[in-house]
Amino acid sequence: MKAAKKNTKKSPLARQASKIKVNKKLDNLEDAPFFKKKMAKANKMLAIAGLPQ
Amino acid sequence: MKYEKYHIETSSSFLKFEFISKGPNGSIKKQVIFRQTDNANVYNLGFGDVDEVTGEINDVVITNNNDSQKVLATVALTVLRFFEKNPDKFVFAVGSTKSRTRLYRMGISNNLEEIKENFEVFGYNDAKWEVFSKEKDYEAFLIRKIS
Repeated sequence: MKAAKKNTKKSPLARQASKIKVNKKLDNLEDAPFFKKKMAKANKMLAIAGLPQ
Repeated sequence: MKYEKYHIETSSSFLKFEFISKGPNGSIKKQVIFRQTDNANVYNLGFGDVDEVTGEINDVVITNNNDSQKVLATVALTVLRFFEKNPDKFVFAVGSTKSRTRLYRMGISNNLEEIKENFEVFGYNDAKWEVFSKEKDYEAFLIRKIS
């Protein structure tokens, strides 16, 4: 009952997100090296500006 | 965000997501990955096409599958799912090119009222984070769930 109540508070989009199914095959994927540059950029920006309050 | 979205699957960790873009250039496998940055509270959103031969992800390829709105809406859904599992974390997002970063900005701007109901969005400009404003260009974005 509690769970059902909680669920009704979610937006339609959030309810859609909750329904995303787990595919265990994806657990075995190697971490892709594709965003090394993005990671460097993120770390640099976060080092400079920290986090917003 | 009442756009059509693709069917998504996720890893058990909810840090890797996969879906298939369908359009005039065929079916293209896409991945969205959230990876922790040097700051343990911030996860970097990575997104691109999966090369079916090498299995690697290419985040600079232009797919031209005429479904950018649907793809962006699908990525937004993965962000929601990520926050369901990690409500106290930030998501960092930047495009692989300036034009893609602008595409992210447009996606946020076009849905800002809906996004603001549950999330705070910040833009990076002049070496600092500021509350996202529709009128401004940003180098990157940070999103967090309102607790």
